[in-house]
Amino acid sequence: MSLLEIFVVLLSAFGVFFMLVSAIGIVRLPDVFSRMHAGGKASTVGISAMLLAAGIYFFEEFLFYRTILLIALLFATLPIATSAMSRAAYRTGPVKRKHLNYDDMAKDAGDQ
Amino acid sequence: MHMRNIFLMNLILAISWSALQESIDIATLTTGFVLGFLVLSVIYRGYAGTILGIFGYVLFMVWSIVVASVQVAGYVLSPDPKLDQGIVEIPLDVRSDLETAILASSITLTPGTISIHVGRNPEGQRVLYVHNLVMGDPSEVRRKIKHDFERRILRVTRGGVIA
Repeated sequence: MSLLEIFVVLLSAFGVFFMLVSAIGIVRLPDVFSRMHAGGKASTVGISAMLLAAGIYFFEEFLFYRTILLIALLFATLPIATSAMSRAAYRTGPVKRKHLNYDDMAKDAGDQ
Repeated sequence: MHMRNIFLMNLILAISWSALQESIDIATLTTGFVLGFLVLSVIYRGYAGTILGIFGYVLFMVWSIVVASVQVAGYVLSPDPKLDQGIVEIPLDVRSDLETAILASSITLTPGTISIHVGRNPEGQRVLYVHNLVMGDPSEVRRKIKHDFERRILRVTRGGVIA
């Protein structure tokens, strides 16, 4: 195995590991917000590491730039979904807040 | 001149370079961009700082995402996850929509923190509400976010307008 192949294997293993952590987190963590952390984040890292590994392994100029573009688009759009879903969860029920130890948002003065 | 116009000029220089070289590929365009960048950063003070600042911010984001992912993975996989969740308000110094959006997205991208809402606290100050997976001391969280993210964003955007 060449050095590059070893690097690709390590990178994709890293990606797969984080996808797995993300899946485990969604099952194990106690409430909406913490599951949001597991589902939204670990998978961002996982997907980008796997895309990067694919781009390096099948290296071809434009394919590689396309994977970089995909990662950039992923990073631009994923956090918006996460934020929107977390806010919806916060707004729709006090029951879901029982795991919060500290909450500044309870005294929010309303929309600006 | 506004930073955006200088950047556009840099792109035009890159395209001109590529036209004069009679080849359009990424390598030629990149060479043209770098040469144009060197020329423009001599002419306009602050341009080099802004572009390098953006580049540095991207590198900083990648680094902090990787570090924080490992931390979150640790919490998820530990036999008895000790979470200490909480929502902290971060008073904002950023003003424009673009700055706020970049700040909120960066915070959400970094594992362990999600920005939930931009609102006003009872004192009427503009604040960002950030949910933390493992919180600790609220003022420490505030200090860290303001120092790590907001300061870097402001350095790029406020250094932006030059003569």
